[in-house]
Amino acid sequence: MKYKITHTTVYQYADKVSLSQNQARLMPANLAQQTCLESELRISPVPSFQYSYLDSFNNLVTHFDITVQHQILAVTSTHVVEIAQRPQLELVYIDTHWEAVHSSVHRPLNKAGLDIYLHSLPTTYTHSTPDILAYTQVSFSPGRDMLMACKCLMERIFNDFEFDSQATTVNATAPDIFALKKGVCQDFVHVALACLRSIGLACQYVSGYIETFPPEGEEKLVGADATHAWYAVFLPSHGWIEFDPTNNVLPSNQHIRLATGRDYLDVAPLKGLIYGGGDHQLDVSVDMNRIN
Amino acid sequence: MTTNVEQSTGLNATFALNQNYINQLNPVDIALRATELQRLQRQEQRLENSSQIQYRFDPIPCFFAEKDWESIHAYIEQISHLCQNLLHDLLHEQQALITDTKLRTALSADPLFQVETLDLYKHAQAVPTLLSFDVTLDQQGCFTLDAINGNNPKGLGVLLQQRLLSRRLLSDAFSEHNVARLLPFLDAMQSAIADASQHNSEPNIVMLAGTQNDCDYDEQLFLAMYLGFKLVHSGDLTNRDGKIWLKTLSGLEQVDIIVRWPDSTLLDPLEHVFAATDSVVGLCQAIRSNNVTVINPLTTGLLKHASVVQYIREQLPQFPQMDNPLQLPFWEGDGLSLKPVVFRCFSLVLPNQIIVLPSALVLQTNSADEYIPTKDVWVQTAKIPASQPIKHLITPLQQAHYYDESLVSRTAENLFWLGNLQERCESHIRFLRLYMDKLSELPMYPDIQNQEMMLLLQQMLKQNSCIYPYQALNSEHLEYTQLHAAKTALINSLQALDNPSSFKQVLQDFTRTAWQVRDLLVQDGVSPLEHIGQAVRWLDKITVDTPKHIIQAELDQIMGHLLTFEGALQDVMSQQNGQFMLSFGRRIARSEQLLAQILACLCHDQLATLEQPSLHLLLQSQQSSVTFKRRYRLQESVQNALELMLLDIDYPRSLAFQIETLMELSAQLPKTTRTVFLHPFEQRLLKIKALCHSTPLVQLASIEGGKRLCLEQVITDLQAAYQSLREAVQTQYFTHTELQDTAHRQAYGVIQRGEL
Repeated sequence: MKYKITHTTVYQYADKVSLSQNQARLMPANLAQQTCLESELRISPVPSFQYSYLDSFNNLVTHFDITVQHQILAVTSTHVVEIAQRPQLELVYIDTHWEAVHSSVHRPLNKAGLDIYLHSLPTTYTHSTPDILAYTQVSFSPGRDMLMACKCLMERIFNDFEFDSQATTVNATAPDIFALKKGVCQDFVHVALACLRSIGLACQYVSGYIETFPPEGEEKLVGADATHAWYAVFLPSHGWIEFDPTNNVLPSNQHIRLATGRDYLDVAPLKGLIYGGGDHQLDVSVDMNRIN
Repeated sequence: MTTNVEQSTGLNATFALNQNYINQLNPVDIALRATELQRLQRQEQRLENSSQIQYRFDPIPCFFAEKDWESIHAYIEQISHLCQNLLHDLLHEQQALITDTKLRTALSADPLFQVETLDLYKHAQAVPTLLSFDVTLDQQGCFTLDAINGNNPKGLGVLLQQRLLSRRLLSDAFSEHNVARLLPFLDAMQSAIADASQHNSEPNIVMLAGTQNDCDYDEQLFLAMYLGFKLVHSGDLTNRDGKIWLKTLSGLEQVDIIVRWPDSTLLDPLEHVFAATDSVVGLCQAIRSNNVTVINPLTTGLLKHASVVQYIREQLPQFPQMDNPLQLPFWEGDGLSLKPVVFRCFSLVLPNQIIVLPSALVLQTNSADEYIPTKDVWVQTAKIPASQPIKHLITPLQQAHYYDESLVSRTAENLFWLGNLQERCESHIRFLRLYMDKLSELPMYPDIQNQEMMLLLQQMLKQNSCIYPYQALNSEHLEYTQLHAAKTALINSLQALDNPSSFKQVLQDFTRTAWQVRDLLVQDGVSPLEHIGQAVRWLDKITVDTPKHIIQAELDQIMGHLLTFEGALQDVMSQQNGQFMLSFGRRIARSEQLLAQILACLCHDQLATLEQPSLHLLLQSQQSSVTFKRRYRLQESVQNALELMLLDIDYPRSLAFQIETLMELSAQLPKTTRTVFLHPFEQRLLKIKALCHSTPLVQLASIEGGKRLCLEQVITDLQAAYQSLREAVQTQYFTHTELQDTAHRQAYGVIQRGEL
């Protein structure tokens, strides 16, 4: 399956910005099930300097500086990505109870193991509370199969939390969201990560895009799609297995992965610092369409 | 966990040495030395009174016998090796984290432990690292490692200051005991830092300070000056093209090496979400690309973690439990007393060598459990030290000379705003004086015209049209108000918390900016500032009931302090040190307030009845009444006033004079473009000059439909041109970015080249 994605971010500032230095994590990763065939990043005003590097989580980061006064910053990334069908986990027999996974994560044998261990530690967005731990233990009962427990947790978050784009801000932490039981995809992922890390399991935040469909009989509106978030849990011998708690699915061929990290702060699509500018208005639009 | 060094026989030799020395002293001598030491310390630290001294150096030296010091030397060397190995491991194999569960669990849970910071150094060459260790000793010569500081050389500057002062004061004792010199260590440190640059044989080295509010800012300033590095703030550095640059008035200077002081591993807000406030945007990429070397590396801050200290202790051979900590004699004002101490030892860790400083800073614990520096350790040596040139203390005034090379943009900008704010303060006082005069006159001459004039003045004050931020005056409907309301308006303008342009606020901004350039201040400049600080506090106390003459007297005093401050600053400051920037800011502020006052006084809606009193108001607030009367005798007309205030290039308060002065001052600004072209700020100055002189006076003074529309238009255009001038200076010299219109021109040039 091939997709063309156009992701536009526009910042409009009340006052002139004299210097803007930014990082964009907007380049889809090349993975076993995902190939980025074309990719373009357009920035206005034209940056005076730009370079790319791989961060600690292997995400491609584009750094750019704008040294000319401006009141509008527009960043548009366009990609063509091909997705292969991922193996259906339902067909794979994984007989590993979660305590064994915990032991394995917490006894790293090498540097790769240490990297996985670091994903089991709470972060500012994903710290736990006794309530979150108790909620987790319902799914992760003693001796339960790891995959079953993970699916159970995803399904409960899907059922117990309401999607409400007005309920939280980008700064909401897992305990805030857990108390509200409302939020958006980013919030559900942070809750899931806090749950999994509360019992010492290693998990990642995944940012990306998901294909959406208009209501039956209506045409898809331009810019109506959005960036999406889901998470991945580490299983020894299987690697990182992805879960989408917003849709209660295991991502297959409609999820395009952009970046992974410990939480949202590691994968923010665009972040930076500006000098001047005053108040700003942000507009984001995403289009993800199949290419035949 | 305790340890002692092999074959230690305790510290008997050291005790004997100290005892012998103390036996030779008498209390009168010690008291005199203590007083003199305190005086020298105050003098060197530029402190107004002794209460500002955060620590007191002790006049009794702490001697160490060479043999005893060797044990400490070996101990510090051993710990330094262990730290070096651990740091190397953390950056590469991370075996310590993999195998040591306690270390892994404790360290990885610390917010400062960031994989992205460790990753920066994956392929980097080892750089010199200055470590310090807080060590407790007992009388048997056993040691305990209390703390490690891998961030910065905190304490080294204090030790050096103490050494210089005590050596000056106790020169006989110093030479009698053949005290080991610090200079070889400092030279090695300077050379190692200079050699750390991977690109430049004559690297540009800066010391990155914390903030000026840091309790150890003086130490940072001292050490930077002593080592010959420029002390900069994070705001002085900017990242461009993946490199780090120092913003100076002459342009951007590439920085090769940063000796950091901030106590954090998170120094890049782009890559570290919870970066420290004193961080540098893009620093990580510059390190990753080997475009800058940071000393100590960002990762060494982890060494202070309790789990690391414990890990290092466990690597050392274990020995019996330590006795009570060592106690040393201290002068208490009327006698000696013994106090427990901690020794801060320093080592320079190089890739193939570890150099231990042959001294230590003796620390005492205060009631708040903080370590207070007291004295430096004098290590006796059998070697006769080679004669070495004495490095003299560099006074803050000399620090100012450093700027002869390149005035740091932050300093230039602060001076610009200092001049600007000084003019604003003075202008505010003059306007308030005038207001109070009119308020006092009103009960004596309560005619309609005076009442209306008072109302107009009140509107000007309330709407800030004659004082910063010079808002447009709306005088269409003047409503009768009582004297009490007029007084309330005065008090509000003086102290209102909700009024960002109140006199108190402007005065506070002025003192805050002045302290930002305290490196350039001499004592004569500090005293008026302190008086102004007191005046700010006094402003809080005034009420509507405070008599006008008391307010008037206080404002006069503030004016006096402001002028004294300016005089003191100009008396010692050379043009290269930024005096012209001070004048630049002042001239722009004066131009802007003159334009605003002309607009408010000569273009309001009550010209039919209040033209003449408004004209007087303008001339009085500009202190130009006497000159005007002398020159024009009885011909009091707006046209003549405009000639004097706008066009007379010889009159120091006229706009034309400000423009000419700005043009002269602009010659001091470094030119960064080709000399055949005018600079953006020069273009703007020319535009201002043209605007000022191009409209005939008759036209400016003319009234159409009850309004002076032509004058209003010219003043508005001039105000916009001044704003544009400020922007040009800001972008070209302070932020080193590009103006919007310059960018358009450059883009156009690119297209033309493409077409060719």
